[in-house]
Parts: sequence; structure tokens; C-alpha cells
Amino acid sequence: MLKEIPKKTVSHVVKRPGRLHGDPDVEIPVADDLATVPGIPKRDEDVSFYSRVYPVESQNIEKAADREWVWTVYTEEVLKYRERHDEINQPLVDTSLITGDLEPTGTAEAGKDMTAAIRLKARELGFGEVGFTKFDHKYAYASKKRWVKYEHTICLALEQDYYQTQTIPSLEAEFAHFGTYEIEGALALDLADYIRSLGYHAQVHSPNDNSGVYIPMFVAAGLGQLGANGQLLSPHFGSRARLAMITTDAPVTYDEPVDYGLHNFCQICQVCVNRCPGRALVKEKVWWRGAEKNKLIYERCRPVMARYDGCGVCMKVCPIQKYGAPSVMQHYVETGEVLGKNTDNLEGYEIPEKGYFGPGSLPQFNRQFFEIPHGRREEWLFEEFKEKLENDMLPTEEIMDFAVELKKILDEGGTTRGDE
Amino acid sequence: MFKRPQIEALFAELKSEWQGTREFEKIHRDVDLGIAYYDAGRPLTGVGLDERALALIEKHKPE
Repeated sequence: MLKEIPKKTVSHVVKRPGRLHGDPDVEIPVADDLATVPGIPKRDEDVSFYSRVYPVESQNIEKAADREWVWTVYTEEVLKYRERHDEINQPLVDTSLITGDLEPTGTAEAGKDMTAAIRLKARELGFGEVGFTKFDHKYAYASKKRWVKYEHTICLALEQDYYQTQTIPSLEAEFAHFGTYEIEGALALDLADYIRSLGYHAQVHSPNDNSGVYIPMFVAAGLGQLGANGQLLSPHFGSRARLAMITTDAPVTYDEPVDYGLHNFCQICQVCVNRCPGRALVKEKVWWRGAEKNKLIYERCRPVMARYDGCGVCMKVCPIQKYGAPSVMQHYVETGEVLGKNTDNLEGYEIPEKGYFGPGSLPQFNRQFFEIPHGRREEWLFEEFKEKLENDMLPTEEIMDFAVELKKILDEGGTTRGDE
Repeated sequence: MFKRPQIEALFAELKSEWQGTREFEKIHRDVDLGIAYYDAGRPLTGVGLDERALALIEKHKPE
């Protein structure tokens, strides 16, 4: 039988380690029309400018008002589960915070590069993607700029459960989401212990108390590219992973960014954009803080996430998440098509009390659904207070209540803790 | 093309037979990949899919 002629020519083939430690290496063919640049198109001078003049800050601070609000709209089951998760996770986050101060327990071998040893240990522990790069302070959160102690970064992605993730949106999928944080927090501490036993310092950047925007460093370390869903798409599991980092003074060799073809593939695929229940994802790429990306609209995402078990439809419907980049890219080269696109098995999902939505159909929400608190807690308090003042003359008592509440918020300060 | 009723029936059988075993995830992944290939009109043989996944797809594929 004659073999069909592939529809696309191949620009280059990316070789990567297998998904699990011990699995054979994989090859990912990148079609000519998908090739762009290793990592992400960016303008370094713009990245530097925005970092200096408008430094990034954690959502847990910048968006604290809605992050507090979500607790009021969680379903009873999610609320119970989140409380239990926070109880388990809190000690891991607390411990991570002080790991940078711990002294090495072993003696360093002068001049020995530690990359291979650390990578092997991380893979043995179960991390699916492990990469090395410089800690880029341009992506550090304003509140954490002085916290980071060491210059080399180990980027770590832990895959979350396959089956549970396919049930998105659901409480079961939330078990995978938060359960992976719990495992990852503990594994990162184990890896840091190991690095200290080699004679070096190791500071754990918790997945639930981020020191900055992690994805650009994962991209720099060659672990994936930024997807149209705003998440890191790594070759084996797309965005079905949770990210943590360790900074260290151990001598390591940096990895290089890779062109997996995903920057352009997302523009052709668009499944996450088309399927987003909140219409929060944007088709066209824009230049944002010096990088070319699909910039999601937070205010359209958050209300859906909060009310529907963390949503995550953009993760669930991504073909890279479901089939892996080797299969998806091979299929694209052979057929010129996106594997799974327009099929129920990839694109279908069920929204509680709204029903099933297959390819081409989306749930409807009214305008009030998207009206949620925004900004920092004190900013939201001001907003509400201004609105009251505009509508009425307020009694002194109520003005005093506002002042007391404001003082309380300011005294509590912001925290970078929370899930990203 | 696989539609929701066939997908639900297939996965109900997959879960009843394999959930809780070490093989479940591997078969699940191959079922998903196999359905995608089937829906794309590609042959399912010779692409390394698990035989048990192939059997489930064959049994539940659209008439």
C-alpha cells in the first residue's frame, strides 16, 4: 500500500526525554509553518522597562478582593475541600519560605557541575519536566524581589492526574489540581534537602507562594512554550502540571529555550479560545509587557473559575494536554489538521445546572455574573465607599466603620500565598 | 464521529473494567488518542495503541 504524502514539510525535530523517568526519548516534528523562535517572541528592552516601571505583583495581592470573594461562592463541597487542602498545604508553604536560610549539610566537590545529578534526582522523585536557567529578576514579584537568594533556577513541573483532569470542570478535577500542589510542595522540599546534601544552598519557591511569574523562566529553560490559554504547554502534558522552582548556588549548566512550534500552533488550533465558557481567551496575540502572547481577560475568567469547580476547560480541551505534543505535531505534519479539534471527546464539557456543551456550543451568563470585586482589598473597600458617598450622605458611624475596616486591611497587609 | 452517548458508554465500560488498576491510565490515554484518530479518519492499527483500548473503540464506535 502506498503511504500518503505528508501535508507539511518539517522544519526541525525536537528531541526530549520521555514522560516518565526511564521512558525512551521522544521526537517532536515541527512543521515549517509552525516554526517561529525558541521560547517566545519578545522585546527585551520592553520586558526590562515594564519590570522597572511597572513591576509585576502576585495576583494574591493585586487581585486580593476577588480572591477573598471566591470563598463566598464556592460550592459546599469545594469549600470543605479547600479548607482541608489549606490545612495540609500550609506547613509546606511555611517551610519553603525559610529554606533559603538553611545551610548545606554536605561538602561540595569543587568545580563539579551538578546539573546531571540534580536533574536525575528530580526525575526520580517524579517531576516530569526539569530545566535550568538563571533566575530572572525582571519576573520577580515586587513584594518578593529581595526574598530570592540564589541566582540559578531549577524549574520543576509535576504532572497532575490524567483521568481526573479529563473530568473538568468537577470536584474530582480539583482533587487533581490541589492534590498535585500538596505532592509537589513536599517533593520540592525533598529535592532541596538533596541539593543541600551535595554541599549547596537551595531555596524552594512554593507553587502556592510564588516569587514571581514562573512561566517565562520555564520557557527559558526549554520546558515548553506559552499557550493561547495563558499556561505553559510542555510537550508531554501541556498545561496539566503544577509548577515550582528551586533557586540554588550549586554550579549548573543552563538549558536553552526550544521552539516546539506551539507559538504558531495555538493560533491554528484555537480550541481553548473557542471553548472557554467565560469567553476570557482572546484569539489574536498582542504585545504585553514585552512578549507576544494571547492575553486572557482575568475578569471574564475568574467568575467562572470560582463558581464551577475551578473551571479549567482551557486545560481540558487542549490537544497537547490530552494527546501530548509528539502525537499532535506528527498528526499536523501528516494531515495539516489539529488532532481532536471539533470532536466531542476533546471539546465537550458539562457545566453544573447548565448542561452539556459540545463543539460549537457555549453556556450563557448574564452581565451580573461577571460583576465581582476587583483590585486589592483596600481598593475595593474604597470603591464601595465611594459608591455609597455618591448615593447618600453617610452617617458618621458608617464613615467610622469604613476607617476601622480600612485600618484592619492595611495592618494585615498583603500575602503572596494562594494558588495561582 | 464519536458523539456523547458513545463516548459515555465507552468510558463507563472502561471505568467498570479498569478503574483502580495500574493499567487504567494507560488504557484511558490510548482510548482518547484512538478516538481522536478514528474521528480524524486515520487507521488505528500500527500506531502502537493498546489492544484493550482498540477493543473498546471497536465495540463502541458509531454505527
